[in-house]
Amino acid sequence: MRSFCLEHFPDDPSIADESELLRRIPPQHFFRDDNSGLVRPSSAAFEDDDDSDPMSVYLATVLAAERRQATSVLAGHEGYALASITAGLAREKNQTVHPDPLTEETSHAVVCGDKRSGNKKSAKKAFAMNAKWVVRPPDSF
Amino acid sequence: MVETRFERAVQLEAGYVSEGKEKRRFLKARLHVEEWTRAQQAYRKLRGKHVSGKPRTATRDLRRDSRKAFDRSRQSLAEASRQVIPRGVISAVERMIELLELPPGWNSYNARPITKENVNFAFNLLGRIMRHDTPAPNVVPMVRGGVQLEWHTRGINLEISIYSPGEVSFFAEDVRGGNPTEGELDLAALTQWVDRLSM
Repeated sequence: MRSFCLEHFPDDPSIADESELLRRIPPQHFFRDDNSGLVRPSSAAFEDDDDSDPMSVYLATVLAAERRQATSVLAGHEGYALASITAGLAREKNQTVHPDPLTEETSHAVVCGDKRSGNKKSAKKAFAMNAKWVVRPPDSF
Repeated sequence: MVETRFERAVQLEAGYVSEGKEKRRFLKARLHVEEWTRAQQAYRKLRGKHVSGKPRTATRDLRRDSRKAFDRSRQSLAEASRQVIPRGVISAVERMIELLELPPGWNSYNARPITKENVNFAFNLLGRIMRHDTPAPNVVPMVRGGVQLEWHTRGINLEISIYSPGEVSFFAEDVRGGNPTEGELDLAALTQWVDRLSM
């Protein structure tokens, strides 16, 4: 997996560790954690779509440079929330952060690497535990 | 024990536990309880006579038998309560049935629909590890058609990720301290964690 990512989606060092990576969270993927009393995303929200199709994110720096609100990536996705993790956390969990601009979304990037296993906590678990809400889930939740 | 037609339908469809099996389990549990009660009565009776000169070893034997019978009744009651479908499983199944209707791309990316095989596996697994007093898990769809079962309550974080029936992993931790556990499906370990978050 690591070699696949390095070959096809190499890490871009110009993306600083502090950079925020935004991920849309569908309503099926957030819930109230009774232990913390908070609504948070499930670790299932931070998985690759396929082995060759790594997790999509949006670069907050690109959105800011284009003077766009972070909420613009939620357009057309009612009921969704928006969470952010840092590029540094992704790298810490052996992931590469690779810009992948699309014609419809220039801030698009991918986070590539094994998200299921880890020494202490898998990447998907670490992302879920450390994610911050940029757009919180709807109040009704 | 079975309260609604839906619960009965779920049981029958899954072939999980027949009425006869269920009855036998509870009869067995009741037999053990009766055995324990009889042993207790005999012990008490003899204990009363002991004051008037019965040998001490006889009362000791009876006390030991009574304890054994009690342990057996407790074990079989615990087993019986685990075998009949708990309420938490029923609500999890209802949620899983909803998830089966998710279309491709349901997460706004490229998520796949949830597969019946994974839902069946999740149902059977829950039936094996959950007790009547276990809270229902959060049932979360996974992007490649799997199902994730999560509990975040009573100081325990427990997540079971079913990628496919052949690829299942779990994560468990006590938020009050201790090292988290992460690994492949381990029924014994899972049952212990589920017991910890049950009443």
